[in-house]
Amino acid sequence: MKRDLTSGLVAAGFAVFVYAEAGRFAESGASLADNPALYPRILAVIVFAMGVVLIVRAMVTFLKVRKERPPEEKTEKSAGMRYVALTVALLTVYVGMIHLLGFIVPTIAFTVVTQVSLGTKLKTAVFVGIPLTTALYLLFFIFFKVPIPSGILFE
Amino acid sequence: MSWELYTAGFALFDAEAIAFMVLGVVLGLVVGALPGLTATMAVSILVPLTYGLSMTAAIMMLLGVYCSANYAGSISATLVNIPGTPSAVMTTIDAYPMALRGEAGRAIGIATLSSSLGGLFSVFTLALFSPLIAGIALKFNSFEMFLVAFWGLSMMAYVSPGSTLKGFLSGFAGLVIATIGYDPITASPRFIFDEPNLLGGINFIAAMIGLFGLAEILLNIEKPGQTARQEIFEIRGSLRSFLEVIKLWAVVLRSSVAGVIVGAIPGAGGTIAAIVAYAQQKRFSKRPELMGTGAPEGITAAEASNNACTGGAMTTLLSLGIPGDAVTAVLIGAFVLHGIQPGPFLFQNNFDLVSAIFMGMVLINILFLVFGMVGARYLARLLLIPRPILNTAILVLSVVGTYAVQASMFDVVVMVAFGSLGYVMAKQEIPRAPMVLALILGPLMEQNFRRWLSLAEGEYGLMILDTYTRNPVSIVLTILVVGTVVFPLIRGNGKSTFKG
Repeated sequence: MKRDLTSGLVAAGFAVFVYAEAGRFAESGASLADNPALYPRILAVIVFAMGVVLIVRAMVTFLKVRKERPPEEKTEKSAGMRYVALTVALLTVYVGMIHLLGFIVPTIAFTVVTQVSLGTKLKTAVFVGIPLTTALYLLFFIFFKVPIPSGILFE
Repeated sequence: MSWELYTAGFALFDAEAIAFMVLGVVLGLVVGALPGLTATMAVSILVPLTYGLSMTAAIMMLLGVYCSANYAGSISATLVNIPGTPSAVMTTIDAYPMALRGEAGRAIGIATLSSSLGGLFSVFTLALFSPLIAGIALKFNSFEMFLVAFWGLSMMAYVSPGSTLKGFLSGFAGLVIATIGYDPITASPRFIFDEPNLLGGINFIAAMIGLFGLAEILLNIEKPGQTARQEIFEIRGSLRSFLEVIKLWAVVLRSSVAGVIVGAIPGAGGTIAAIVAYAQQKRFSKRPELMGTGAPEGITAAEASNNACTGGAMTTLLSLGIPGDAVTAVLIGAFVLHGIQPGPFLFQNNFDLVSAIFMGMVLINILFLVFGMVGARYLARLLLIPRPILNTAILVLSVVGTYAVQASMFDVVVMVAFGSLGYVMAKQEIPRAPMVLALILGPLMEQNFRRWLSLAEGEYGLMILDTYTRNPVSIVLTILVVGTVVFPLIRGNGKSTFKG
């Protein structure tokens, strides 16, 4: 029920945003086929309608559930969510660090810190992190000749 | 074309293609054997890796991962009662009880040969039917191509796990995202927010890696404790089960047919195929009461069907450009990365590649049969790898792999954004596969739709009338699309029949 409501509200909001934003590039005099805003706006209307259906469905379920007076729903905050939030944060910092420091140092740091944060011992994390970074470096930047990100501090 | 379609591929099989095909099979076995890692995730992460390879080597490697991962899910299903890939879910029902009786080797042997036979059957149907379907599809006009793509998207939304409405929402949101960048007709920039990196649109490989790779790892991180058990069963006597499977030829055939048909339905995939085939076998079985207690026919039905799915899914991919499941949706990304658009024209412009795919899939099914028989006991050891190490390695591989496609850090940011979105979608029970398919099919749909509109020259009513009276294909396709959209509404609850 809560999921339907959240999804519906986000979908409706997204659709309104897309419809309004399409006004920036809409060509008023153009034929339907030549108007770049036509297709995104059709899609936005459909997404909005689906969002509204989800909201209505959530509300109908809410009213039904309240009528039947079931025991109150308790939401359990998963401890795993903290790991997810931490991992996304580490990943974001890692991506930013690659931009600054290049590939090697941030990758070793990320692999070690992430493993430790997920429960691996520091020694094992270092033992895995360095060979993993080396292997990826050899594979992508030596074997596949992808231009290595050197980091703006070292350019 | 005729027989040439089945022989032209020989020329493309150089040492590189064969080496990467073998590598793909091995990687697929590893991924499939590890619970929590899916073929979709592996293929999406590996797509950038194929950038430096020849087209044939790239496709062979990814097909190797796809087919062998589908099979290898049965290894952990047998040994620890956890399907290595979702499509092995029905395998656990009989394989695990058999392993508990001390017959893990027998169960793995049955699963391996059944998988291989199911896969081989599906390749023959692929080779037989895909040229025929492509021949018909070549005559489609722009409106019909739009309808085909829309039907594919609708089917994927319909059969995706959970709410059908949310499946459609995911698909349509994906279509909106696919409009980012230059307009295909007038070249006006759309939704770029002054970011020049968005002019070319969202890099769908980055989006795919995010939605399937990163999101899956985040979901794994959230559920700790899926690591291996300490106990690994003795795996002996796999070869002896060969005769047993040969005696079950009717089960193999029946389940393979079910697998191919389900596989050809866009979005259905191996899990549904296994459920359908298992239920079908229970009806046909002389001793249905034994199914669920370690019956060989249960393992055979599940494994032959989920592997037969691969050929079915590839049939619609190659002939119509519509993927049959999430992995083949990702495979489209690999084709496009190498400058090839799957669909009916593939049979005209790249029939040697199509031919190589037929041959490659035969070899792959034989290769995983051999490797599976020989290596099952070693693959079982993979279950002991600590999950934090595995998750971290895949996270870094996702970042480096995404960067490698265009040497762009912006793509990495896109990947992280889509990974987070994918995680939230999973928590909201919104399927991710329709969004990926929409990102791929979106530009094709818009181009065909607007091309059709431009042909009308303002007379839209006449154009609609002309489209439907001139060609019955449009009517059939419209019925399919309307049926797919309206059927769940008539049923009233907005839920898919199959829940994952």
